[in-house]
Amino acid sequence: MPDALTRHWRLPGFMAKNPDAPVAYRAGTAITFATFVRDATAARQALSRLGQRRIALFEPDIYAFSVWLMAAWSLGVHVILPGDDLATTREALDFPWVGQTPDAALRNWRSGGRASPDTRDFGAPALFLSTSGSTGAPCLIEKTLRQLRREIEALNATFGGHLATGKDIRFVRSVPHQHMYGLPFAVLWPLTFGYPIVGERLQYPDDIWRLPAAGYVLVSAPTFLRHLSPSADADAPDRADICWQLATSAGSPLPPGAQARCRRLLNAPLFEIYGSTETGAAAHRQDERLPWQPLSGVRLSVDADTSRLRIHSPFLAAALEKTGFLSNDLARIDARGLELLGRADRVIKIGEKRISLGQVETALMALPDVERAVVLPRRGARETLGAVVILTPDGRTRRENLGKARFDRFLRGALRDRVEAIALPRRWRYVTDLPTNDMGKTTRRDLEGLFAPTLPRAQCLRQDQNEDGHQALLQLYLDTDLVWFDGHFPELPVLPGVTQIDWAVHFARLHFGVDLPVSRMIGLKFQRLIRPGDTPRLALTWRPGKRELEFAYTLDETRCSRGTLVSGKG
Amino acid sequence: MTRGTPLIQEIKAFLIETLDLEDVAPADIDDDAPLFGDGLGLDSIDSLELGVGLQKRYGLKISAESEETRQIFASARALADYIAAHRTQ
Repeated sequence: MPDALTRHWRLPGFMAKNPDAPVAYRAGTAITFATFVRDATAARQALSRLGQRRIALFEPDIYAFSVWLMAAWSLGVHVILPGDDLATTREALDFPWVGQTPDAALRNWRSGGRASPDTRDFGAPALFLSTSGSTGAPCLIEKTLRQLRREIEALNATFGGHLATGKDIRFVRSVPHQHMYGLPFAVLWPLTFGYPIVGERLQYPDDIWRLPAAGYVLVSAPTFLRHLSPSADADAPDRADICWQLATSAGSPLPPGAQARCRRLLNAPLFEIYGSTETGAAAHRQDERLPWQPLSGVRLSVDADTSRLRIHSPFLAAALEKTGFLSNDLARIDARGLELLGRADRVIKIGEKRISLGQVETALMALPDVERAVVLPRRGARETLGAVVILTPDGRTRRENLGKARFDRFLRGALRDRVEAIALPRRWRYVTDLPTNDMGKTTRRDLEGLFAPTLPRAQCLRQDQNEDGHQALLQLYLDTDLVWFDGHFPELPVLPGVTQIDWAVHFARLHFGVDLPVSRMIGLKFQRLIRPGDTPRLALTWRPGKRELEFAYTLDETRCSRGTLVSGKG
Repeated sequence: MTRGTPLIQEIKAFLIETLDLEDVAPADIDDDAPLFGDGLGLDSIDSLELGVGLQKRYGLKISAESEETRQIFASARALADYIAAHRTQ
């Protein structure tokens, strides 16, 4: 069996020679190569008794997943990797399911039996990935072992140089391993080159500071990395004994500045990875201001007719080896590298998932309340969708009866059956006509203008109640697209004083539940300008007895403005 | 409209700010309506944002994918009860 295993998906020779070498860690305890081979042999027998040519493998435990995968491949059993194990997916993928999922044909490999002879073929499709295609409907993408093998070799050739030799280096991930980023980066690369895999998936950014002392490769994504911060936990101070070798991020671009910040925090290179399920990893970059570079062995070009990126690589499907893979991304290539210019179709990524804008619009326009809808991505603290909607007469009536917040939620609810939760629009604008420019065209810029926020993003740092009254301290983030900066003033945009007062009233309502018809203002002082992109703090004190609200905006410990608003009511 | 305890009000403000819910006032969030699925209809990114936010604000660490977490996020009231019982700051 070790032989069948290592021959088929060549595992590193030094492991076979050292049965005590760790393959993975579970709760900090090593699982050795000897145990791995024993488990894989049992799994192989269990699969062999099952007697199926194809299985759907869904196993959240990465060690058990690796065992099943190697066992299946050594038998020549084709593995389908579903993206999730929802009931609809289990129904759509009508194969025996293996792993920790409801109605699994096999949940574990611990029962005796005899194996049948293997029927392996290195060039036959061995893996099928279920992915949401550009139409949104799930489709299966085939990979042969040869393709996977070549991709892993390219990964190691491109990034392996960043891993110290002769050290204890482990792979840890925040992403699932059931797709074409997690699988090669977090499972096959370490398994093939003899690096142990950390069993537990990182859930919160803070978890990185609780790992046992070792060297690590972090396989991650923007949703996780943008929250990365120095350890704030007294139990887990910054750990000099955790030595990051390398971090990777894929799925969607990192927000500006995140790459440099993560690099400083981890004291290690962070590579953003560009690729797709069809091509595997294709390009990488270490700095968002610089162009992408192809992976070892990959050749990039731009299709002259469509300006779309074409990818040639040794790990494409045989049918694409001559023509290359024509992606849906518009691109420009020069001597410095590749620049991506956006999607050619209307598919965008949210939380690393492909979302078809057209599909969301179609679902919206199928609702009786909606006459016409345009959906567009909005970039705020996180990527979300905004919907500009023209309502039918019925829709207008319902909108008036429910009020905006409840009507927004009503439409989200009505879409839930047809649209994934992550793709449900979060910003809604109801218009009677779509905005048009001088040429009578609706431009993206006009549509985006409808979503300019009137309130800053905010985070409440503290809320207290004492003899002096109710207090709250808020951290504000003033995105540059706030409506107040537009034209005030064209040369030097600043936050108007009257807006600062409005915001104080708004946050008092949100946090203290008070409505303030302001009758008097005392001691108003505006001492320092607040500019787009600033992150001021707002301190509020509400004294119910005097019915007065004191506010103060500060920026880096310097006072920007202050005042007391007195309410006439009561 | 429902008016719960001060902590529920605080949690609703926390949800609105942490999840950047536009045009939603605390009064629009029912004490007992589910946060995920029907009700507010939050998604998996929200679940991570909430986890990070709860840790920063209340010193609470919750596991993102457990059955217990589903209970904690069952409603604003369930979340408030959990915070009252477990907060460390």
